[in-house]
Amino acid sequence: MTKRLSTKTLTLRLVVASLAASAAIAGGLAIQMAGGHDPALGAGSANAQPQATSGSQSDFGQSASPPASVTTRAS
Amino acid sequence: MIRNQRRETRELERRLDLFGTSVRVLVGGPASEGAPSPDLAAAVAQAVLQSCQAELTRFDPGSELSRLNADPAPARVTSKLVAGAIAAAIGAAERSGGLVDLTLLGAMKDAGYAGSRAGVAPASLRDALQAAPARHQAAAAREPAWRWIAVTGREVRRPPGLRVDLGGTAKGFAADRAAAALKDQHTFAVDAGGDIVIGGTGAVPRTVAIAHPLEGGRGIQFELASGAVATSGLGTRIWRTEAGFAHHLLDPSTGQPAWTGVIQATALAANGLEAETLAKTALLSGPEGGLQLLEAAGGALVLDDGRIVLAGPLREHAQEAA
Repeated sequence: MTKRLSTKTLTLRLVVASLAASAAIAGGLAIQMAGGHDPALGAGSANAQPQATSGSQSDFGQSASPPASVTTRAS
Repeated sequence: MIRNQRRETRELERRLDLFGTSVRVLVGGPASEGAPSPDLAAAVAQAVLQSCQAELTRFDPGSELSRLNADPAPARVTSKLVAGAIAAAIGAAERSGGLVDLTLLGAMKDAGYAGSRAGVAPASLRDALQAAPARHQAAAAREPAWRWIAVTGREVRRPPGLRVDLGGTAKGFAADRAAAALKDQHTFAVDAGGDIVIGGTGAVPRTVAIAHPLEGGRGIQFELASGAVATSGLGTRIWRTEAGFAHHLLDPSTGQPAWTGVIQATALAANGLEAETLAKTALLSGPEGGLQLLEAAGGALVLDDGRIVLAGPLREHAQEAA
């Protein structure tokens, strides 16, 4: 014979499950943010790091994984 | 021809055949608030580049520049784009001390560069270097004709018969105009056949490689978050003549192809037009003068023997290409 749970017990279990799921999502986001990935900015956001400037007319970046490379050549 | 694709970095890429070369527009990152979408901004940049090609080419007799060159009247009201490009080229001539000269069209045709060389295989640069005359730096024309050109609004005044060739200046000018359409994007690059403008609100670093004209691959590379880089060289527009070899970088003082000891110069600058001007001037100035010129903002020379010599900030930031 199956044991029937009270409404109070079911409500309590739902609240506990919701809190656990929220904590897991928040933890995942915190880990991503700590790694430099802002999920709100998309997959490429880890590249958006401040760059050192050379004092010249151009800024030289320090990122390890920049976007698509370009090649300058005589044409 | 246009090809669109999404890259790993979520960049939109458009490729076009313009200015007798390959042109790329790269736009990446999330859409900025209040800014056009990356797709729309890239489409605008593409339209700007196509307009520049259509109006500034000397190879189409119907272009606005060709109509100006064919007009015998001393003054002609031309398009805003052509007037702006000619004014920019006059500025480049002034800043280069006359080495970047927009009035060498006759000499260019005499040297064998009358029609477009797009798709034409270049002659061997190594063979040309062996056959080339003694090296010396180029000089400005004794009586520079570009000083007689005046631009007021959309009106261009010049002595009858004086024709204008914007050459590489048009690419730098076009890259700057296209980049202006992308300035509010997270990250972008406009590559107008080697004249490259990089920027974006995200200031995301991007790898820039410099192709080696003798060894075929990439010579060195560095990271650039914003600014421009351009390369001028002998390797692509070079051809055989009855007397030997010729190329498109002329010595304004002689009207002949310049053999200066530098076969390629790359310059960094705040914008594409300035980078293009510096690169061409550095090549025409020879190894010593070229390095001095590139010292402030950075650059690289490739000498006749293939050696790469770095200048200014690139000495710190550049590394051998992977």
